[in-house]
Amino acid sequence: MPVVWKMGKLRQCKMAAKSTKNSSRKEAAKLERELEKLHRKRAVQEKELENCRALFATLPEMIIVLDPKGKVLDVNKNVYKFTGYSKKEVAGKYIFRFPFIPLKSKKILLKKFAARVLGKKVEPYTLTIKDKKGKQYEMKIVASTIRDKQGRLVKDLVVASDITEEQRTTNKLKDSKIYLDTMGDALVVINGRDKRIVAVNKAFTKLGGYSEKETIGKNIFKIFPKREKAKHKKEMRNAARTGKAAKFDAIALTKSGKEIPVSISGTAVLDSKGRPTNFVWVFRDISEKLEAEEMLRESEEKYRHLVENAGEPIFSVKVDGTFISMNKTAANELGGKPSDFIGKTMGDLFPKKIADGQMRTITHAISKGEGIDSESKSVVRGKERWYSAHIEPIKNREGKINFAQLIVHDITPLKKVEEEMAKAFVELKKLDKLKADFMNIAAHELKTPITPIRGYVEIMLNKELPREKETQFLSIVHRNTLRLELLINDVLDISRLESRAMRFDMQNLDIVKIIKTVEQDMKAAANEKKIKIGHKIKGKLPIVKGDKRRISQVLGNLVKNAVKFTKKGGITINAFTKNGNVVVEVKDTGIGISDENIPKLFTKFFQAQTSETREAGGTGLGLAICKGIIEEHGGEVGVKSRQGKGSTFYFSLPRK
Amino acid sequence: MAKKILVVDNEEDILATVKTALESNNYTVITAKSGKECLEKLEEKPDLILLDVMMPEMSGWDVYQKIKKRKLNVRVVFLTVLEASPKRKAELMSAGIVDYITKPFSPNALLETVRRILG
Repeated sequence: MPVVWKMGKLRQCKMAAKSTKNSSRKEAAKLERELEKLHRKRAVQEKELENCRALFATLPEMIIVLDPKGKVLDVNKNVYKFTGYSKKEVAGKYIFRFPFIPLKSKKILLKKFAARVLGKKVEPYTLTIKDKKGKQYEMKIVASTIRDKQGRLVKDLVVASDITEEQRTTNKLKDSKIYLDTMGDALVVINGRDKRIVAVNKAFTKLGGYSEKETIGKNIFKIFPKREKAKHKKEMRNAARTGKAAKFDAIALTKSGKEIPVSISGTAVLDSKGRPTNFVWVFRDISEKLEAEEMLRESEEKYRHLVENAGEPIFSVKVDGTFISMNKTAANELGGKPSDFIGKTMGDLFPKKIADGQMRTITHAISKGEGIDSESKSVVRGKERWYSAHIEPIKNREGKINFAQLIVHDITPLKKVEEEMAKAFVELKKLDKLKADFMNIAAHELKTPITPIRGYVEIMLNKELPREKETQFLSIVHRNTLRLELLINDVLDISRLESRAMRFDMQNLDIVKIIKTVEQDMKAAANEKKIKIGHKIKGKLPIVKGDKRRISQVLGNLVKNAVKFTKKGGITINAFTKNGNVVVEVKDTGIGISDENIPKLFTKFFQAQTSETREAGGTGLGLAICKGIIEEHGGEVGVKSRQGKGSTFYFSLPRK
Repeated sequence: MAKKILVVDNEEDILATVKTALESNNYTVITAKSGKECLEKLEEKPDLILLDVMMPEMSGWDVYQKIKKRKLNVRVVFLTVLEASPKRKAELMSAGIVDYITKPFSPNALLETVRRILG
């Protein structure tokens, strides 16, 4: 303490003042001023000394003043507190002799004291002492020395502060280190006063890339970026004040200077007076978490982008039918921007029946709690459309479903194709049935003439019959042979036309001559039914090309049919020119044809409406053959008819 | 007394064939050209009806249903061009059809069937 040796200097000054009593008054006045000055200075010094003494007496530390040999010169009253010895008991005695210094501590103390006597700098150190009752204190020793001009030690001032509690918690923390090392989270124990690192666990060294040695004693703020110091201090203050765990995110610096995002939860360890002896900071590396969060954010972003720009309409609907989101495609479909429709309800945008139907499906998906696929008809902007939709109920974090997301696909074209296919299928089925029907008819028609042929031939083979019987039987066989031949010709014609293998001998046709010939040929059949038959040619007909035999066949067929289906009245064959083409008509006064049957008339095998009741004989191939032949000539066939009022069949042949 | 057989077919030549074959074997044959005619001729109490299936206006099958309704003691054999599937045959048999002759048939085979049925 500098105050002690300054007292000696003051005495010197007084003596100097006394020896100048005989000097001049001027000198005397000067001296008096000096003296006054010294008095003032002394008063200040005494005040200082007073302060020092007060400090000496009131400091919580134990203070011992030693002479160079280790004899106690002075102590403060805390000596009693920590050792149980009074000032009287220790004054003038060698410090090393007191039992309050255990053997182990005595050795340290001697070593340190010796070092100081020799003028070496001694760092603060810890010493264990024991009071009279055997209670141990951990003391932190800071010593300062007073030396003379030669540098010899005059006095040694030992200041010992009680760090027992601090040491105990530190030791406790160090003891629990074995457990702490197994922790996955990084942990650091910080000294409450100087903020130096007291202990770390393995995870901490791993996180920071430091060795344990490198961290112990290091200021905690060295492992955080400077910008974060204030934050940590604030958290430390709060933790110490409230006694609650601090929880905050921070950045930790690794040895290599890399910044790692960490979440810290920390507590303050308080002594009995509520002062923080230590802070325990637990770090969790949240870089992965942040990365995952970033990835999640990115994927959400991507997902949103995907939805926003999807070519399919996507939207979300609340249970009450309100649109809560919608992508551009969905809005386009409705004829606007998403913002035009969000907030509106199904009922606002669709006809009630459709909206109700949609909401039923959506409600069903929501109540079921799982996605469903539906197909429905809707009216969008006045147009009927078909949509398929995947309806996915969306759960919130609590698992509650507040809305459903719909991904919609316009399947109108698909539906059209489907409908057409269904139609085609029905047609195909019909065709199939027609074919099966034809097979039945054909079988019937072919086998019918064969039955008498075979029957009579066998009868004649089995038994010798009279000549007249034989002639009768043979004529039946002959008739049926001709019928069979006609039928075979028809079947051959139709198959040739179908495979486009029919050959035509094309030449200039004299239509009038053909009409006259056919009329002549059919006259007998008509007369038999008492039907008149005649023809009318209107104007001069242009020359057309065709196969004479085939055109005669067509006209013959039409007239034959007319005769077949006419009971009374007559048949007229008309010929005229229309649009430059020759038209030939066969007009009868027969039973006519129902509107329903007219379109089917020229399709082959049509005639038998049911396989078992046929109103007229024949193969049902005649008109189909006519149509095939005329179309191969580039012409058209058709019919105009009313049931009960007769029919007009016609065909045209193009001008050359 | 000669057994009476009613032959029904819309084709006259087939009627003639069957008639010739049966009469030469001392059966009494009556013929009908349609289902309607067939039903009229039931009054003549035939022992057997040879019934064509594929006829216009009323099919052999329809005629048979009507015959069954009258609860007559007459056996019916179908004449048809169509080969019946085993299933169809079973159906016909269970419906009471005695036999099934496929056209064209041999007169001898026809006679054999008729003899087997009438004894």
